[in-house]
Amino acid sequence: MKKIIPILLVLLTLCAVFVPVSAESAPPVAVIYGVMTDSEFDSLTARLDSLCDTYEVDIAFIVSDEIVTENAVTEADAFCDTYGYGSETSKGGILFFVCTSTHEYALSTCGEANAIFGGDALDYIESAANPHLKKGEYYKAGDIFADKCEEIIEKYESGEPYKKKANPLLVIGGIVLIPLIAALAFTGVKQSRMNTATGQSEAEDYIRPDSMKLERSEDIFLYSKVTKREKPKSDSSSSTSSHGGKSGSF
Amino acid sequence: MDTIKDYKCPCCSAPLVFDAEKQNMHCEFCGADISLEAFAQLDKADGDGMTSSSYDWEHYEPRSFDEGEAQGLSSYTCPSCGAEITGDGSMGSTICPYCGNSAIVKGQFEGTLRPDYVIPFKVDKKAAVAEFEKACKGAPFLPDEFKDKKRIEEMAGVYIPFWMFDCDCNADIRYSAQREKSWSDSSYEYTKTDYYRLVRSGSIGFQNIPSSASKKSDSSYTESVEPFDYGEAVNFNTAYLSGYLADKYEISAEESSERANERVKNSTESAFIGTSVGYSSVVPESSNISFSNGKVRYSLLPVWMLNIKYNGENYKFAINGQTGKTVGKFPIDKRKKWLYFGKVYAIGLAVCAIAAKLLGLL
Repeated sequence: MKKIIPILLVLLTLCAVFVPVSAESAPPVAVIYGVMTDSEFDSLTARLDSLCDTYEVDIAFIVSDEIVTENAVTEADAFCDTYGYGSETSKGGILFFVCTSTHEYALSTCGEANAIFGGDALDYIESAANPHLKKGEYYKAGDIFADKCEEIIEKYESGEPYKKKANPLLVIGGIVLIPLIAALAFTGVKQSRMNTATGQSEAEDYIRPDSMKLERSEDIFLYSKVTKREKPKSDSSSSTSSHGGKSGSF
Repeated sequence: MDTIKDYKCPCCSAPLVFDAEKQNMHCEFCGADISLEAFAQLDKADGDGMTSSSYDWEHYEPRSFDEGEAQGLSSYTCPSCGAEITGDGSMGSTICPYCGNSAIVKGQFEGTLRPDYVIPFKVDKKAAVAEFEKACKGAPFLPDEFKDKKRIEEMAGVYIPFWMFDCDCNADIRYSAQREKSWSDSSYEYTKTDYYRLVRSGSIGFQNIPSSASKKSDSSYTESVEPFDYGEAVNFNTAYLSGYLADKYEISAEESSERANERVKNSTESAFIGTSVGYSSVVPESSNISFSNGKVRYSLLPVWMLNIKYNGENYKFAINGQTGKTVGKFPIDKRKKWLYFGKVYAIGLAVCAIAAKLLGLL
């Protein structure tokens, strides 16, 4: 808690006198002792500061060893709200919260960053950072987080928000298979017209008109069965109405 | 001493036990809970009137030709397929309508059953050829060389012998039916299935159900050219055979009635299912059918028969001599078939590729 304690004390003191915490005073990187070297910490801080200055989006990476709120999502949102991440920049912010004790993480966005970092973009960041979190490589996870944020912001600013590319093999497979099935079905239907000598299993043409008389008609209810199927829940959940985000575990 | 009665589950036939807590009959095997009221109804329905099926056809009294009637007729035998057909004594060379063999042997006409009725040919040979050519146009993969005019004109008009069955059918049928309802909330999707036993009993009348009396004619063909309009049936006269052939009957009314019984049973079950509305599935569980007032008649029905040999195989066709309905099995030109397949596939491939590009998937 070497780095996080003094930072939190500063922030809490500021909150205690009801001074709105500015983005400039909320550091982009806050981590517990031992997860990064000093040089890694400085490098990551400089990187995220630079991105914030360039793109006007607050990007923060927090590594803690406890969750004081309900879960990682509420913890990440609380960091954003309490310390004002994204409140001073024109395009909001994104915060990546990691808890080393519960092995949970959460991405929280606010402001215009909700649109910049949509579902596909958050999945992209998650899939890139998760393998490093699993190995305990928190600096690498933070660095990858910075890389992906920069890539996603640039795509957004070029007019094409990040969208997950479909698996090309699946797309090509679909393009090849769907018309194949359709062609087989059409050909099968046409081929069935080549044999019309199929016989008759019934004699409905020979029912004497108005001869049917129903003398007994009973519908006896036996019993009911109710089955239920749980709706699939996604791994992620959006936090509050003002925040977007995603969460998971590693 | 009273006999102990076994109570069986209507869904899985496992033994039922009385559930004192729910006051229901409970099946421990499939979990069904059936109210006592429903169970009493079911018990009563199963106990009422379920006798075994019976098919009571009148015994058919055959009639023979008068001496004068038989004078103008001859028998023809095909040495290739063994068909025995009757025809006008003045007919010249005749093609066998069943195998296309042209070397049939004329012989002495021998007494056979005299038909009760005949439906005369209404579609002449020219019209029959036109109907066949029309059917060829509707066969998408037909080889071009199959439509050889010369071979088509070898078709023969044959009166096929049929047993005609009339009956009043009494049926007592049990169906299993299900009704489903679905709904969902934020966490689950629910499906409620209600299980029913349907009891339907009543009567339905059938008339003129044809069943082929010829062993040579393929029933899938003779049934497929149906229906015939029996309003145009007339009392038999040998004059109607002039210029046409008549197949000899080889299947007795008793043997032929099995097919009629099957068709009546299937139609009765279908007709009664039609009275069950609002169910997602209705399946017959058991049916008891009995016939009464069963009448049998022997008739000749007009059919144009054609055999075409192509690539070593014999392709048969039948054309209803009254309505012109054409049935048969056409040969398939594999080149045409795969060409069609290729065209549809190419179009589909282009459409899917364009769609993928427009959706940004590629």
